[in-house]
Amino acid sequence: MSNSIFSDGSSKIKACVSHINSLNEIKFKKLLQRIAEKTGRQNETIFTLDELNKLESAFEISADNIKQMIETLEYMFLQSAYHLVKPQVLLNDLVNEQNFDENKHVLYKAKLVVEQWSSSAKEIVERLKSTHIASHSLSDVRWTLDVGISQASKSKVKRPTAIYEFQLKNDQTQEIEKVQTEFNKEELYAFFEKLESIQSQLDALMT
Amino acid sequence: MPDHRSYQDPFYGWTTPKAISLCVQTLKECSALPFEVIQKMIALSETQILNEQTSTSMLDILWKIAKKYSISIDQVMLIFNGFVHVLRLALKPPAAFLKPDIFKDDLRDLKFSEQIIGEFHNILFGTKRDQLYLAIQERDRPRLPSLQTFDWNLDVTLTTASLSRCIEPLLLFQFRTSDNRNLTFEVSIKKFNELRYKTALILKEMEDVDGKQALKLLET
Repeated sequence: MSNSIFSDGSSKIKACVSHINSLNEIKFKKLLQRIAEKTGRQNETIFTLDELNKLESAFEISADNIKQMIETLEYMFLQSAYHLVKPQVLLNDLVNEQNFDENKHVLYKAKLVVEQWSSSAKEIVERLKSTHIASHSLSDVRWTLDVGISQASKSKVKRPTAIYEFQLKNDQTQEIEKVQTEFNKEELYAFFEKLESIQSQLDALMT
Repeated sequence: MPDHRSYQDPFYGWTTPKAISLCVQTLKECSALPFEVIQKMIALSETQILNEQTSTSMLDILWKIAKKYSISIDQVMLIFNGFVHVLRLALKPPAAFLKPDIFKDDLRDLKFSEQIIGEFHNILFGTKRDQLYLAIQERDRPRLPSLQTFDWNLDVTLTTASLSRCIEPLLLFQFRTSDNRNLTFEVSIKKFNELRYKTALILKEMEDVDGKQALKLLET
């Protein structure tokens, strides 16, 4: 048990393995797909309450047990992502350490998990990589270029002005804060120079 | 040589503005005022335009003048107001438009004394000329907030709670705008590239503005 990737949660898994082993394979596969799609998303539950009830009748297992099973499977995916495990390692772990049935027919279940992991691993890791820490992140930038031609204090001007709207999304509440700013030519050049210096730092990082 | 009055309107408009005619009238009434004081007031009006000083400190100076030369504060205010008006109106047309001779002629039409005309000429065509034009153009118009400071942080995430080996760059921006908003936010590399592309595009468009046919009418 101590060699397993899942050493932290082995008691959780122990409780569910018998349920997992008793499930119908096709339904199990669909369940896995759905869980893999949603693993690692912030602020989203994998199944709504309605869906949980439907699953209860489909699998003929109590809602609590289903919830536990889903959590366990999600936990397995998250842990695999944390350690970036190779599929074969995962397979061995599931069969040898976690007591997924070794019966050839049901060995299939462990294999299903591993197959799902192989196909979704990249996506899950990318999703986990891009989770935000700061309260706001830049979701969009809109702009217009206007030319001022007249104003109260001056009869004739030619003043190109760039107007930016930065849209900042709050990850917790999904609210978008809009920030509008104006740049004249010099200010825009200065802004661009700063962006260029950031880019050169990024390039230095990549080499 | 045709008189400039036949092809160019006076800088102050078609009729003498009330503020200026009152100023001239009051100057006549206060003929005892030494020229140095008038000089000082003209210089003050230049400062007024450049710095937008709070009216209280301007008021203090004007009060002192009124007391020292025993004229009423109303009269001082009328004179000062007229001077500021002249400068504002002179700064209104495009810079190359108002030539010194034409400016002086127009001031003569307004019935200012030669000494005063000399003072105005020195201010409008003096060392602070560009600053004056800039202040009028940039400050006295409605505008959206501008970006005052832009600080950024480029970090590399090595491990997180969810991934033991990560190696992802992380960009953090902090904007401070002129309306005192402090914004700190993350920018993904993808969005950063988009932002950079858009900015370069706008800069190019800005350069092209000078070449646009329709705007050639605005050549000053």
